[in-house]
Amino acid sequence: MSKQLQFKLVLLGESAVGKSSLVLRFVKDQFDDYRESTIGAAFLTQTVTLDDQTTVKFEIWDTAGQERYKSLAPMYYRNANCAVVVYDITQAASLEKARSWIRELQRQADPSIVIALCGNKADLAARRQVSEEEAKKYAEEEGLMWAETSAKSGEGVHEIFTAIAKKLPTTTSPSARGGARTGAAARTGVDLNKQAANAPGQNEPCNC
Amino acid sequence: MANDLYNTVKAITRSSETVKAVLETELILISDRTRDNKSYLPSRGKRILAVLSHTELQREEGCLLVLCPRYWDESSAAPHDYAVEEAIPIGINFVITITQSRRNTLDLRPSNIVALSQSRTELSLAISPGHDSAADPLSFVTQDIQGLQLVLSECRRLKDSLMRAADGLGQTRQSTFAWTAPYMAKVPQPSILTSGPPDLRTLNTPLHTLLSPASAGAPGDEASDIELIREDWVRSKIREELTSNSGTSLLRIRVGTFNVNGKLPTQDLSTWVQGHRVRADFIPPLEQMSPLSLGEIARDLFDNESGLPQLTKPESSPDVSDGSHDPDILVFGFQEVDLSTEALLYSTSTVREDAWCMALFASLGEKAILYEKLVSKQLVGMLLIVIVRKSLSPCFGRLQSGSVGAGIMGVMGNKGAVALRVEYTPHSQCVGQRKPAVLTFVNSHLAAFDEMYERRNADFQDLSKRLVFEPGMMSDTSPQQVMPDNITEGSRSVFETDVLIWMVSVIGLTNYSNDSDLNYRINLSDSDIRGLLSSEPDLIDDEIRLGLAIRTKKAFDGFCEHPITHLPSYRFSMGIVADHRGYDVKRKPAWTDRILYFPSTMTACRQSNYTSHPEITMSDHKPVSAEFEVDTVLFDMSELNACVLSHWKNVVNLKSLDSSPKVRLRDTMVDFGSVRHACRAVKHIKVENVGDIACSYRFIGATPEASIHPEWITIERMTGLVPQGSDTDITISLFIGDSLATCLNSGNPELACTLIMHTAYGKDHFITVAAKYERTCFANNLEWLARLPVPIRTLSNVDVLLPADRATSAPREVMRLINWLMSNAAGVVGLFVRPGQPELISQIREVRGVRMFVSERNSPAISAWTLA
Ligand SMILES: Nc1nc2c(ncn2[C@@H]2O[C@H](COP(=O)(O)OP(=O)(O)O)[C@@H](O)[C@H]2O)c(=O)[nH]1
Ligand SMILES: [Mg+2]
Repeated sequence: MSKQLQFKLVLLGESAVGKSSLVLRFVKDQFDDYRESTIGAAFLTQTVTLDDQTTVKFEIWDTAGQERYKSLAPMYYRNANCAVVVYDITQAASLEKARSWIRELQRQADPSIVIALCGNKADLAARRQVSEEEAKKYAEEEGLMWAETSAKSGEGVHEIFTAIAKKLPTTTSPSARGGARTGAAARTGVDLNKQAANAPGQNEPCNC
Repeated sequence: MANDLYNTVKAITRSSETVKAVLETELILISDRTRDNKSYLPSRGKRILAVLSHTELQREEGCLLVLCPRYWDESSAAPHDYAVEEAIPIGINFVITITQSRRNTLDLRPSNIVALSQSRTELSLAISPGHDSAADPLSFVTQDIQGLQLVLSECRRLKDSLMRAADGLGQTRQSTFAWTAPYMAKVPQPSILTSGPPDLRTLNTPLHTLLSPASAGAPGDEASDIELIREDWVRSKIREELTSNSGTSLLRIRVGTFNVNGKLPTQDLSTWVQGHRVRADFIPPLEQMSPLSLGEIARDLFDNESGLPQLTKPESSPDVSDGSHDPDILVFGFQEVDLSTEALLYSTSTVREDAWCMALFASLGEKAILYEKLVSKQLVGMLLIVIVRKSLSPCFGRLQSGSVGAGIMGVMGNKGAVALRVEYTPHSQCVGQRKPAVLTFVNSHLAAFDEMYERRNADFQDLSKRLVFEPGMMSDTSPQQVMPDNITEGSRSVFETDVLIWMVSVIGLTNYSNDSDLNYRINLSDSDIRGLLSSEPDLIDDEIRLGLAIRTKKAFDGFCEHPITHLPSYRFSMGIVADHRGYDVKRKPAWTDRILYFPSTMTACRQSNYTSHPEITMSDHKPVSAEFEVDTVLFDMSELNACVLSHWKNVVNLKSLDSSPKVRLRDTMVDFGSVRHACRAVKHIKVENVGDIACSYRFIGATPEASIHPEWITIERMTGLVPQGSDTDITISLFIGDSLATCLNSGNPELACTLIMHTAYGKDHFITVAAKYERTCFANNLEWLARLPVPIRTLSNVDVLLPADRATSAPREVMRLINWLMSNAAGVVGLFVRPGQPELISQIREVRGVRMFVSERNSPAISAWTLA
């Protein structure tokens, strides 16, 4: 019997670091050079199948990085099981911003949240401003997962999401755990059944 | 090719069933009646037939599916875009008839299996679930002879196996075909075509309050939300499109309610029945007759063709003019028609009903010939009679009745309600069939429950829940039969109607020691009321009227009532215990007899008259009457169908596996610039659908507890739907009322908020709204205003206010205004009573230096004092 699990994942980070691009790569395996920046939060889903046949469905919220909407961010990381905090390796300031997101998550999000720090635009290594060592050291200190990715080339994208899927608790269903989940919890049940009826691993809509 | 078909079907079927045969066909005939509930699907064109088999407990059963391409444009139908149109169990009576050139017939019944002749030409097949089924057979044509043969042989095999099983088990286990249910359920359909009018209460409730709870990052139950949004959208499109170019037909309805206190008619009722007195020579029709003989006479009278009681003079009929201002429908509700205990226990004869009916016709005078009784309903003491103009009687149909007892033990009929539902199809000059309007009349007799408002309210809620029209339930006396296709419909609430008129008589008002009942009596002392009533009735002032309205509204949530200008209708008494107006001195006079209506956004209903009839003295209550004008929209059915379907096809798919909704907002920053107190500012946001499918949206709050928008913003429309390739405008308006202005005058004048627009299965869009408030001397605390060192518009910082002890004795703005009024306006009549002119007020507000501080709704000075 294969297990099906469902988790809420939120992407955070400064504007233009490539959050939406990472999701587009993960969900549709595509990349656009010219993307409208997100004003709001986009909802997408993607399923990964692990080696032991467990399928993990991510409900992804890709948030707007703009400072103006910062007050709304808690609505999206509230009840999230995992967060991907993205910085741009060619912008040192974006790592600072990532650090402040991580501090906020550590203070305000569910204590069991799995946080991954993700250095994007690895294909632009020539213009690198953030060294691998610096980021990795910080991630270790804070107990975060860390990887560099390129939404453009696809490098590391699938791996980071799979690694998160593996790290998430596989024993209890998140919907059973999260008492605070209201509407989303109800939907979880429905979607899981639907997923069972459909072919597994199917790509779900992308609207980023 | 066949493999493709097979896969298509396989994708739709569950793993518990196997696909035995598939066949591509064209649908050629499907009767309108069977299609009633699926008319959104194309009525002809490509269909896939599939035979499914299901085995359970070693028993095999079959079912034939009819699949219809879901997309309108058939060429675009991809394999998964089929919907199950019909799922026909292959039961004992299942029949497929094959015809070629309408001659060779193949019947599937085992007794006469005919070999199918090979042919190049098309074969048509008719499928029928069984001879006893009311539904007409479905007819298809196909060219795929081999496929057809397979379908036939599988059907035959499954049917045989079923019959063998039935023989073997001696009918012990009946086939239920329960497994086929999931295939028949769940295809979205526009209910505007499939069912009657929606519940008025829902129709009048803002849609966003009916959707599932949702907030930023928690979209709620989208599947059910989009259905509601879509339904509402289709409805509003129809309203826009059809009401503007369809005519309306005016229907005049006269309604009367009368609590007769167990009496039989002994008086001329013409003022109540017609609104004015007929001939003076009224013969009390029934006074001297015993109830038994009365029944005889009544029946005779109603048996004669004209339906005209002999009591009116038939010879005068030729010159009766069919006045166009006369009502088209007369509805009369009686309470306490029968107070006998026996009446509670057995349903009594129609003696009393006939007596009242005769009295009504008698009171119609010479006009009686123009009318006939359509239908009536009685439950113990409650009687409801609908009389219609003869010339319109063919327009009325589908009569239904309902009743509910709420009296002794909560069920007996001494209290409760009776209801009648009538469909009115306006005359049609052209060929097409009109869409009927549903009229519902309720006559209720309720207990007052002086002591407990909650209890009474609960009782009303309970009553209106129980008062339903059961499918096929007919009225007591109906000239028409209920149509057989009614049987399949579920029970309907009295609120599922276009027009709802509700009569109520309240009983059980005790004596006036109990002043806590505020609902049907006014909150005045007994002597005050009598004083008031002894003067002129138009002195029933606004305050009392308002009080009555509010109290009624509490119990009858959502209903409307015309302002009451008549005297209380209860309780009258004969003889010495009465005051000079006839009211019982021991009871506080009360408005116990009321006529209410439920407003509808789809059908306009205007009340033109509301009065009591003090000249009718036979009961301890006075009769009350009301007149309504209803605009029924002349929807042509085929036009309506076409219109609904043309919209529906654009929005039938709101979720697809390979495409998600994509909308673009023209503006996500809405800046109102500088805004003023009490001046409405409006901005529009264009929402374009740039994706491949229709998209529904709704505004949501940031958290489950948060409101969707701040009080100074209104959003028109809070929910909506944008078909693919089109766009819509959302209107955001800003209005700063008095209380907010008071805060902003002394606080931070920058206004900002973020609105969240959620698109189903997609995104939360953020819309930033900003405005800068221009301070005004309106809506301020006078003490605060007196501390202003400079004109308020030039106030940059609240810190520069004078300390309270150095404030001027009165604000300069007030002084100037008063000076001006004393020198210029001393002679103006009603200066402090009438509201000011809006333009003038806004001018005064804008003139720097002359600065005021009051609300516009009242006269300046009065508000100034109240604010102080
Ligand atoms: N070279 C490169 N460009 C990227 C990469 N990821 C994103 N971009 C670009 O960076 C810009 C911002 O990306 P976007 O996904 O909108 O960032 P977001 O605001 O964080 O969602 C876009 O022009 C992307 O094409 C990457 O891995 N490599
Ligand atoms: Mg983005």
